Amino acid sequence: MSILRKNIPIFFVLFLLINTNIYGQTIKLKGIVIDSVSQHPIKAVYISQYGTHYNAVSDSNGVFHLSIDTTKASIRILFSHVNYKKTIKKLTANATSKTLKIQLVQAVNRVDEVTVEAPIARMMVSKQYSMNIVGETDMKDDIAGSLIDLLEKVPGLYKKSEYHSAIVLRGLSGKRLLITKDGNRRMGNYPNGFMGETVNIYNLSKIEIIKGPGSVKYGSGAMAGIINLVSTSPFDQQGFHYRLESGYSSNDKEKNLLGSINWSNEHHAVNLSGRYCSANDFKYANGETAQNSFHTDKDAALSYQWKPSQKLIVSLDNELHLGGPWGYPKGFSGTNYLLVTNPTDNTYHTALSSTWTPDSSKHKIQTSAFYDKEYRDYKQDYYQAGNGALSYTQETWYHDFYFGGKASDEYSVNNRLTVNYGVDAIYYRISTPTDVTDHFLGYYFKNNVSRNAGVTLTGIYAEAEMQWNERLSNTLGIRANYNSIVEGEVHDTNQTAGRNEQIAAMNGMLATKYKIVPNLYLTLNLARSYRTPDANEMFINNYGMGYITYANPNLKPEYGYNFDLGLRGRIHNFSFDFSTFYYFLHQLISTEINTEVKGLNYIYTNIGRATIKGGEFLISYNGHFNRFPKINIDASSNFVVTYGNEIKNGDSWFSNGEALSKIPPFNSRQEFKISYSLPKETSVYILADNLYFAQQNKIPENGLSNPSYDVTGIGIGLSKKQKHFSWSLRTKVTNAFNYSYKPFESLIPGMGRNVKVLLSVRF
Amino acid sequence: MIKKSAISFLLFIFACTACNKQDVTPQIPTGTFDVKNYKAERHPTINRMGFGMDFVHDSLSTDTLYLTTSMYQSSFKWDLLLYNEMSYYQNNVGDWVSVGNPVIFIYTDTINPENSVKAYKVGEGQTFFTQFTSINQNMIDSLKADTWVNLQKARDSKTGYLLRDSILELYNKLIIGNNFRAVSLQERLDAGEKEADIQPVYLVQTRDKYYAKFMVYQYKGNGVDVQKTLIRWQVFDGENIH
Repeated sequence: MSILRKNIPIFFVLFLLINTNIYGQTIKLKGIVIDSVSQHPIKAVYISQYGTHYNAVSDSNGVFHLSIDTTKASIRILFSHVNYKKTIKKLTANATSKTLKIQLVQAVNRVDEVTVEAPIARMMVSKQYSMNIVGETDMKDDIAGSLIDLLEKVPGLYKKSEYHSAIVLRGLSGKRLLITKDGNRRMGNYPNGFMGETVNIYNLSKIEIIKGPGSVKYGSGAMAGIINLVSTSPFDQQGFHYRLESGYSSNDKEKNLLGSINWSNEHHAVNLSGRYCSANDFKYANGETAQNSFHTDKDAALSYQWKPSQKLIVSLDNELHLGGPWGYPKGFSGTNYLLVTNPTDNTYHTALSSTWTPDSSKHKIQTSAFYDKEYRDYKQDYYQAGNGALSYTQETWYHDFYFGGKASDEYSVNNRLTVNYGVDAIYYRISTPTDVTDHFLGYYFKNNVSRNAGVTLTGIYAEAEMQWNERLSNTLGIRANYNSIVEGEVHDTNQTAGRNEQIAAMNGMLATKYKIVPNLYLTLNLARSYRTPDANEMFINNYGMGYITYANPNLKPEYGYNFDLGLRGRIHNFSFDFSTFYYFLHQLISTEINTEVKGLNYIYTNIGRATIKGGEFLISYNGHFNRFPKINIDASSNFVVTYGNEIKNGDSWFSNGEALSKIPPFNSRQEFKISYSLPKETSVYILADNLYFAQQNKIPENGLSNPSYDVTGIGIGLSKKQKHFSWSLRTKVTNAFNYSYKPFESLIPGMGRNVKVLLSVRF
Repeated sequence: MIKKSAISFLLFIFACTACNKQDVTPQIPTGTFDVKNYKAERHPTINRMGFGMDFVHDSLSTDTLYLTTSMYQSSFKWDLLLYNEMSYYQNNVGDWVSVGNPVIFIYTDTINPENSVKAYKVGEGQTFFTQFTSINQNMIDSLKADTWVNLQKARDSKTGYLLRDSILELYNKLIIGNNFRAVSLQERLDAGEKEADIQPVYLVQTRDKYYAKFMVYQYKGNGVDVQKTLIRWQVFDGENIH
């Protein structure tokens, strides 16, 4: 066994060589795909050879490498992209040795399924729900440091703090917002659900944000929407490719080093990547240091895909994140005498998935299985106000693991009717042993708090999508859920075993999409979404800073009755997405003061009824001026309004109660990017963005109302393609005017001016 | 353990520090005294030795202080002390739970009782506090000193932990005690009322025999003050004492 382990690298190389030889009889065709007018490279063009199963996809520089079968009498290469006219290129045997340059013509007004390719706040205008995509270009142009940096670009999401921030969509956060990785649920070990600091965003190809409930397909928790993190496919490029990136940020002296090796042929693809990131404490605009705000991350990922034919693709993804130490900035909770650090924050994720399209082509069968293991050391150090001496330490070790799987089939019954159906299940367990040291009094004790508590979620669903005519389509979905919540091995001394509760719930949706004219859609979605309470809320008491939030075994599931009305489309180079929503939340799980126990403590409870209403408007432009075809402009503006209302018992759904917390006020974001193509495959760009947040005046009692603020960013970049490699150098200045502000609901200021640099080399 | 014993022991020896005050002739100052607002860290692991308040201090800029030595050993002489020692209890799953039990002690001198600070609840709420501008003899006659609190009695004999239930029994006998805690006030709130509308307002006779009105404005502050207790007082002008 040890011999095998020692020789894994050798076996790996041999494996690559063997596979290269098997398919080595073909020849490689290299080329670049560009826009016929702007001459900009086009990413994600699907390229295939007629009569063979050879295919490739162009990368972000428009470059592709395609293996072709030269034994064919006629070599015809198909180029297809959703925004361009299909193009077929006939090649002679001689031509295959040259680098092809293919120009595609835009088909802006002729296609219905539109993906707006503006790199800023990209949107899918033909979807039933409002859907935004944050792509690789956005990540690079922003030189984003963490997941929350990217999410704040999307209307309806906002960033509260650097690095580690609550993720809130349309006023609903944590467990009411589902985070998935390639469609598989991420659970996390925070009481409020999954946080993003363990995600290596530079290993993602894109992030999909679907606004609106998705409980039919995803089950418990998908009430506000779904954020799906999509891995980079190793099949994106053929042959061996290497990537090396290095970044630096002036404010927190963040150093970022990333590298990856990618190899693929027609049937196999492997990607190995690594990342090291380390940042010191950041600085506020006034020059003060945000003490304890440092972080360190190390990531490694290995993914393998097998594509024996066009009908089947199998993926195996492995990710290891070694996080920590990282800290919460001093003062984040309202006192300067508490320092919270996570010396360790590790996650391991593996997933095996497949997509199979049988011969009939009427079915698309997808399966996946995943396993996640997490370990986080959460340490709270309290200091005396009088003399600054260490007073008290509480350290919790979060151990959790979860695994699950799902299977689904997308069955095209006929040209009008498609049926989706599937099953899924997930098993989650967490232990939270806690040590307490009272340095002042010399006490030390250990607590169990929870051991093997958790939930099991199962569900079965079916959706029918009916295209009544060219304009009108409906989707009707229904799902049955059966969940189990277990207290685990730590339980009341009067009990003989841990408690458990079984909860069954039904949810459904009816979506209507109406095509007013080509590329202009009106959508109306009615849905019943739900979230089941977890062990934390039902059985395990939660110890906060100076208070306890008691569990409540009588909790019921909470339900959302969601109305989403959208108008979205594209007119010439302008795209827009106008989404309004009205959520009626029934039996919302919240906390109230626990009057049954001594002290100021809280208890989880179903608060009855609450509503959240609001809307987002996003408009963007992506194109160029005819007189200046080498100049490309991307511009977008979004405007968001949200209001939450807790309704008192007995009052109507539309009455005015107390404002809900975590509801962002009016906010708006503008982005502008201008790119220019220079000779010799060189391009430059300059960009600017501005985020505005109004002061929140409708706040709950004891809420926080920070003054309004606006923060501006400026960026510039240069990229060049050489004979054997390409490189780019990007710079982004966030908070360019060094504006002092406090982000929405944050007790501490945001980061001051930060100059970031990213150098990327690909070969 | 040494610190623990020291705290308990020093509770008995405070009297000497006050002896030199017993011959001071009571004076009623005249003039305008500002309403003073303070914020004090509430958490028991942070506010470890207590937050002292001296209503008429020699140097007005230091009329409050987080004590760094045990309460009666401190060189800072206080009239009121916001104190919050960690206490413990075992919960129903067998884990030890530590909780704070905030209390306001008024200065008590068991050897020379006439040197003790005295207090009396005269009303409730921020409006009453503002309108409470003069005091009369009846109010002065109602002033009382606190009963002596021996925290040692509240400790578990085996572990040495300060026990939550025992300490609450002791605090219930005090004049201000823990009556400002939001949880006990929450149930009394009427529609539209805030905590500051029903917080008790006290008349306090200081160590120096001055008179002041005092209230906890908000047990748990808002926003950036969420971890702090907000306190308000004003010393009376002697001309308003009848």
